[in-house]
Amino acid sequence: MKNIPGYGRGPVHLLGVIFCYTLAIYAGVKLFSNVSLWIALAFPAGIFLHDFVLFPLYSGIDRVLKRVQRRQQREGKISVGWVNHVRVPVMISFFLLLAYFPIILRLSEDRHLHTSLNQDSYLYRWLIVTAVLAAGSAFSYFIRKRRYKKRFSLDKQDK
Amino acid sequence: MAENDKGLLRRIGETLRDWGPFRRDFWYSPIRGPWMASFFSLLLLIVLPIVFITGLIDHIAWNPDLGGTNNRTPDMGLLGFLTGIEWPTRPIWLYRLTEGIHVVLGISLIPLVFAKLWSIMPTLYKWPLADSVGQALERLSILFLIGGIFFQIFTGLIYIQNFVILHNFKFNQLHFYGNWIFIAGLVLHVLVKFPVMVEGLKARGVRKELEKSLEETEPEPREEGRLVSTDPAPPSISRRGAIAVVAGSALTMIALAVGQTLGQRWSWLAILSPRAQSPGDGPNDFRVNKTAKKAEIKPEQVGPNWRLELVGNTSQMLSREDLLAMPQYTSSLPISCLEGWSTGNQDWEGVRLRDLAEMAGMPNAEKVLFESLESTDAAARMSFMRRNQFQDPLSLLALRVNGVDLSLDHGYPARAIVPATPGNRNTKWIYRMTFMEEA
Repeated sequence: MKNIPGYGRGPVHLLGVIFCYTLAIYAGVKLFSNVSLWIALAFPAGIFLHDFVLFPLYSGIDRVLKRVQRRQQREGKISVGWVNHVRVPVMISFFLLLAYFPIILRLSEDRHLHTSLNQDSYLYRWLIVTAVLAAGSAFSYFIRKRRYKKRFSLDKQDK
Repeated sequence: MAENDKGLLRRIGETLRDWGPFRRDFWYSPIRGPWMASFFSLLLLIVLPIVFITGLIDHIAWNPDLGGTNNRTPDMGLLGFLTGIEWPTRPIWLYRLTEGIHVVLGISLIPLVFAKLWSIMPTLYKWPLADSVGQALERLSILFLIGGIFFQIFTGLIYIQNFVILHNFKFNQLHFYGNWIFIAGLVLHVLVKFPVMVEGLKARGVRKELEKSLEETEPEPREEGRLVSTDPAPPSISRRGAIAVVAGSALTMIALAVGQTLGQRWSWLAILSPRAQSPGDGPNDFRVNKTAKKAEIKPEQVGPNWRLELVGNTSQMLSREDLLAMPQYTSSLPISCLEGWSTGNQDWEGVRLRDLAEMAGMPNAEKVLFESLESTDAAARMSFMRRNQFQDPLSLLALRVNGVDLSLDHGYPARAIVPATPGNRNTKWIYRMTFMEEA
């Protein structure tokens, strides 16, 4: 489709943009007539936290892990890569913390009053889930390693 | 002057282009590329509409047109276009299902959103930021899209956990209008990017790519654009491996949340859910959203002097004994909370609401108002129900549950229980019922 001069995109794009901004501004005006305008900051804040804090942090850690593994592989110290066995439990544990941090870190309102349930144990529950994930991941790593060694020694026998 | 500006901009651009994340060889993932980004888009395109629609269903389930606290977002104007739809009472597990899906799938969005953002990260660092007015507006709308999805996920999550800072805000306003801001961004994004997604998947094929092991994993051709690294590291995971990790994370989040909706037998699995566990194992020991203590119910309010004021054509005062002397019925119904948790079916005993409508001389009433002794929370103090809800033969003013009197936490002396209705609308500690002619 032909681009609109001075706009640089086609007419469908323009309609989409008009719809998008109309709806967002309408909903925004409704929202901020009911709650503080400061809430608007939550939108860029979420993006900022992800793009400039979380992303550099996790990709930086990942880069270091991979570098260590590659060096060990080059030096012939390891036969089976372990990076993914660290990535997976750490990642899931982190997602769970992100989802449930108010209750894990006891930032919730008096929960006993609300639900007649206790909130004190949630930190331990999260640690237990994390430990189970880590143990499962370590277990699968050793299985893989053993299988590799078995195959390796079989190959040798064949030769 | 214009010449100078242009020169300056160009110089900034040239500096940026060679700096850090703006350099294409800064990015090293060998599996990042249009195919990977498109695949995660596809996953989101399946899950997001389900979460969106079940969210709208919750909006309808409160019958906001009945007014009062049923309408949690007054003055919603044109965004109230779904208001006025009659919410059904069957199947009895309808709200239990839709709201359970909304909350459980909503939580599982976290890994999917993170994966998607990871897959498109290099496009954030593009210079020039936009090539035209059109693209500038499109890129700015990312604020609604990504800001919006984080906003929705986290307002929802901190609400179900009673996070202290949310005390100062009105959750329903945030989550309802925040949704429309997000949808605004999503519609534009899908309109522009859907063909790109289809292209991206087609170029390498879905099944073909999923069959490739780590050894067969290779970067996409660098002509595919910014997402593809010009200096890829050796792969440490295959594309299908990365997808399995992301999907596995999402499934783990689901597995750890779904137990709260499956009744007592599975509640142990919802180990991190705020309200999954029951307080004990007696007949009344199924979950509550709010205790009598929290609602500040005083013992003298619910003692022998308690009366139900039944208002219609006439006004009558009924004691608990009067109500127990009326024909008693049993309904096996769940409690389903808008926070996503629900109980299995409980055996409620009490008086049919339609018998009370008859008794009030208003068999043709269009709606009923329940009022509660609860004094701390306006939303729970009153609730309206529509004609189809109180006329349903399973709808009760419950006096007993599972063979014993209601406990104070479950609304003693009397509470409403109506099939497929949000738990919050099933008012506890009722002291007055008013049948009304007009809807």
